Amino acid sequence: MWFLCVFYHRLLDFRKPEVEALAELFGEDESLQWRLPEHHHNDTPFHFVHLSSEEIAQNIAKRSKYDSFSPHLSSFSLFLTRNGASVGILVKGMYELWGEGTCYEELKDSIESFPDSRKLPFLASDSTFRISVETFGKALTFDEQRERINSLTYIPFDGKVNLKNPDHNFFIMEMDESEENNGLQPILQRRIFFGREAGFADRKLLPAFQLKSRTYLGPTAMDAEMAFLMANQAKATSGKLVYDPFVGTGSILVSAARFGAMTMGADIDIRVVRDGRGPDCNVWSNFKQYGLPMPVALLRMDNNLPPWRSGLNEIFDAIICDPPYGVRAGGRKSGGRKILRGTVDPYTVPEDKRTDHIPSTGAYSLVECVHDLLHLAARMLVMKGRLVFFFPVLRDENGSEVKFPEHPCFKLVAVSEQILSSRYSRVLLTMVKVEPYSEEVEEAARLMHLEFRENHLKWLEEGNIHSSVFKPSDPSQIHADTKSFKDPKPKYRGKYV
Amino acid sequence: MRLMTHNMLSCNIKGVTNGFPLKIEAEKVIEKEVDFNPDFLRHMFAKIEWKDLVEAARSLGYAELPEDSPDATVIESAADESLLKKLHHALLELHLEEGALVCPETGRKFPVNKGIPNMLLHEDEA
Repeated sequence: MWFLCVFYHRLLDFRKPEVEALAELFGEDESLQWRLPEHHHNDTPFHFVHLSSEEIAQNIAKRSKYDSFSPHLSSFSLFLTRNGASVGILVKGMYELWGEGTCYEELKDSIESFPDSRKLPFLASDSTFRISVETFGKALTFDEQRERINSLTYIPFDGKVNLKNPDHNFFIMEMDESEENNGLQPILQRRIFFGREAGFADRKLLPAFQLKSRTYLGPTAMDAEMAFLMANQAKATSGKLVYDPFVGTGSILVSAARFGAMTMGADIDIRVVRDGRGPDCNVWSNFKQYGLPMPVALLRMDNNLPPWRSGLNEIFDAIICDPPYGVRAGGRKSGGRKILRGTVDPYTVPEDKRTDHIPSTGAYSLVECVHDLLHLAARMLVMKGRLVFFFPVLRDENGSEVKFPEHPCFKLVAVSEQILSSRYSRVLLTMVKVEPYSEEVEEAARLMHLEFRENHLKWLEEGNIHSSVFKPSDPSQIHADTKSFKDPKPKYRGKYV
Repeated sequence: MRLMTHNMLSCNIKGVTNGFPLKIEAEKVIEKEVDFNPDFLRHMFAKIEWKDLVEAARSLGYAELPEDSPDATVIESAADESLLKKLHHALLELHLEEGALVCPETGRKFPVNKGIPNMLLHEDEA
């Protein structure tokens, strides 16, 4: 069945992958397809999506059962524990399309040719309905709206009108041709859609989880909306075990837990994971704040030397994380600077000082960190499990092909860019485990890693992304090379948000 | 630290071959209730080392688990939840808040404080 999927106009690269991941989570087989409405550009909020059932569409854009939510902890936690289901964050609504056209006459023809067998069940006399008019890029007066609704007399609505809480919600969506349409690409011709709402999203989840009211924060805590998107990309849901090897304050795990998953996290920095800022301000308090089940485990460990027993494998359903790129927070691994360089031999700590000794840690480059992450994921993810993580990208590449780290066990299924500044972005990579881990695979992966490191820009290898991001712009450049300042991509709100 | 975690950890000091299971030295053990999720437990059952779980549970004061690993079919069937409930209790509801995990080969102690095990190695162990 074809549905009109209307997206919120933000984080453009993340919209379709989220729907695809959720569709797969809700049982979609291979029949998901996308189609653009005529005359629309790929950045449009309107996309047609083919799904095998209405139930999947409903689950992706779930109608909220709760009309208002109480900020009080008791009823709030009830709301959350009862309703731990995944919800699409960027989907505004899913509509079964009954007709479309460039004018109301064309719309009428289109609706009349839509099969009765699909229309009649929703027009029954014992049901209630409401028709709303939504316009994009302009506003209509009440009379103008009434006029459009009244033009639909050819549809045999037998039910009663209920404006507050109808069984079935119908929408006329109208957009005009325009030069600049609220920052969107211009639409070359007027387009009108008429559809029945299959599901609509409730973004109330976001104000509840926003970071500004979070108990325990760190400088790189993941923003709530993005954390939910990552959890959806990883298909986090009840009964699954999700792991974050760079857990920090637990911001990513909180969202996975909200969708019902069991969570586990590790970090090399013991102060962040064990102590926090006090007994009421730590990772546990973040979960307590939202009435979510506590993580199954929090550990202090070094991902470069992990303490997993040798027979353990294929235990995590998903690994979701935001590794340190070395811009605002650098990665660390065991071994002081001098030991890692070989200047000094590893020293033995005297017995009496052992218990309180804090082992020194040294620089851990992004490339090595990601290699360890891929190795961990290759071994510890179940087959078809997902690895979802952010990877930084410099933006002045002149559009040249950006290569991402690869591993023979994984298939890259989604790449979504989030622009952070004029200099750099980060891309959310979603990889699915398609090959089981073995010694041979590990050897092939090691060679891939070495090749990636060799052929990549110096800034990745040396961990110099920090200096690239923060280097002051060359004043002579500004006058000489005006071309580099002309952004090749058209600027409109969506991409930058 | 829960026993589920304990069942996954071993000593990773360079050269150690028998780092699992770590012996538990318990100083403070508490019980925290966790929602019962049979699907999750079934998924975990396939991955745990049963005998080591039983031993670890005993060292925390819980001896209700059967010695021998139950048959997979018993766990899969929806009928008898009493065994699953015992597994749930041992795996998720027993917490080692303060204590240490001891390597069976070297005797090295990995401290557990506020429920969080510190598995970081010293400079000469890596």
